Amino acid sequence: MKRKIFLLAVSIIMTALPLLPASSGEPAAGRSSVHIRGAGTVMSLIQYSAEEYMSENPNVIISVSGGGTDRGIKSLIDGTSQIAMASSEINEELLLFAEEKGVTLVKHAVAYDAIVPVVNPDNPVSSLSKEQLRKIYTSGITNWKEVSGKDLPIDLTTRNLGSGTYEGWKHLVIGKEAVMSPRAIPMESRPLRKYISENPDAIGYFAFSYIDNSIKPLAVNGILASYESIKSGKYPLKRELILYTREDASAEIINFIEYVKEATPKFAEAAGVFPIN
Amino acid sequence: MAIGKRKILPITLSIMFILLLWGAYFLSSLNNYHSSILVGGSTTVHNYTLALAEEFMKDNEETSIYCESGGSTPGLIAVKNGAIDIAVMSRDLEDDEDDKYIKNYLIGKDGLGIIVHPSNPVSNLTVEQVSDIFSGAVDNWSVLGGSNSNITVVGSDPESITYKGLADIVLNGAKFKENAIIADSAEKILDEIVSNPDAIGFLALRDLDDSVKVLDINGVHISRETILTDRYPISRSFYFTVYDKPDNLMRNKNQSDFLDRILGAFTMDNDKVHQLKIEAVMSFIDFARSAEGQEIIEKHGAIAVY
Repeated sequence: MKRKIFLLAVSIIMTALPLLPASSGEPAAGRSSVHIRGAGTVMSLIQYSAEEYMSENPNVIISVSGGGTDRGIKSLIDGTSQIAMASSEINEELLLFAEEKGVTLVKHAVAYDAIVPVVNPDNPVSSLSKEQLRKIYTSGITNWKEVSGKDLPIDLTTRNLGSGTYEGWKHLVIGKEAVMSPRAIPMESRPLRKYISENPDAIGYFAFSYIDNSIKPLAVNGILASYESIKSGKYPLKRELILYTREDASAEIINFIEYVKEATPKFAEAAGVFPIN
Repeated sequence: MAIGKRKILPITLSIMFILLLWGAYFLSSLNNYHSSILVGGSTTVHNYTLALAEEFMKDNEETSIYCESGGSTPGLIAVKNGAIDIAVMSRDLEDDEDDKYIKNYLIGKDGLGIIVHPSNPVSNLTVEQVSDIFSGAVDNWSVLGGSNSNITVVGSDPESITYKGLADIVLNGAKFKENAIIADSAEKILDEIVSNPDAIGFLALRDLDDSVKVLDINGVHISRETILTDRYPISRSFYFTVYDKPDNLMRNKNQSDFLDRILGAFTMDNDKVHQLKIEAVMSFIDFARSAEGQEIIEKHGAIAVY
């Protein structure tokens, strides 16, 4: 009995603890803010555009952070940001999440870029066909000698799962029927670039803007990625860079997106992306 | 267990007394619930959190906010487990930490300007070079393209948000140089730099002025805009992070199934309690994002993001 009284007393106290007030606050008035999150490949373009936009519109705060395509889309759906930067379309899981939350998302293509396979500068291979790349990434080809390289097992790397470049690679190279080899080590762009530069038998891929002298880009179907070949459409692995908003986005948000579209030609080269048209 | 008749009366009375107390509390709480919000996380932005909580409680006497600081990672784990209500994070999430229940509200950003004497020929450093200077690994300007003279490192109060910020963003686990000059206000730091051609120090954006030379970092100049867009490298975002999982432990952490069944008739249902809890937490987060909340963090040296 004593135990029951004790339990009752404890339960009363415990029940009372989480009774909390209902109140609501309003975000800051007087100025407006737009929070943007998402893909690193779209980020430079948005950073340059946002800085210029803010200097022209001192009452607007635009904050930008990375985290990859998926985090950008998720934040847009859960309401913690207003624009998502994406280097691929929305994946199925996030489409379901949007549906669950009753959110409709709208796509605004602002630029495009290319995905480039890369190897170590010491690798004698300098060109692969899309079909060879597909076989390498689905374990059909596992040794460099099968593509006229050295007799070395191929060390596979991939961009991490939440990245739009990973989605793009799956879409452009691997195709719907096949699955990426589980041997592929997932990495973000910068660590991946470093890994390729240090491992002679490694292969990876990332956005055109990440190419530098530490690694060797491979030609795809005989075409090397360059400003000219991407712009002319000859280079085969290109994809859209996208800003997503909610259907009910404010005028301020749409205004900024229009601004980005107009500013893209100006910032494209510095940002390593290509204006549409 | 046998109970003597003499004991039944006091037991009954005490049960009734407790029920009455509980009933009274319950009725009064229908209009005025007292709430406790548990906040934990980043040590390096703890000063911002404390200032926000203090100000919020002034206008919301029915709410108590308890702030603990033990690091962004333990804070995140605790909020995921429902042990606390808000995790304060001074960094972005790693991929494997993120899931669809995590909601990351941006509260502010801050950045540090790296300053030298106006006569110093150096005008740009990389983040790694800044780290080497403040940890003492590099101690002569000649290595950095300057004159052949020893670097005088000027630090701020180890408890200040700028000192903790430098440790957080730049030093990456390395220790601050041991024999550095410690100046405990922005004015004193500026004085030290202006009076010594070999000195280097750091200040929040709002404390920078023309008496010193502000260095570019990785080729980017510090400004409100470059901090907001994350392009300036010695900057960071801080977030209030909640875990919005409908069956999260937070909902039931105080009630066992057994007690639920016994008290089910008297208590509000769990959904209601859970709803009220979320509303209290959201009202604090909304405060942090309001004009007033943003003014408070600006007063402590951060950049408003709303």
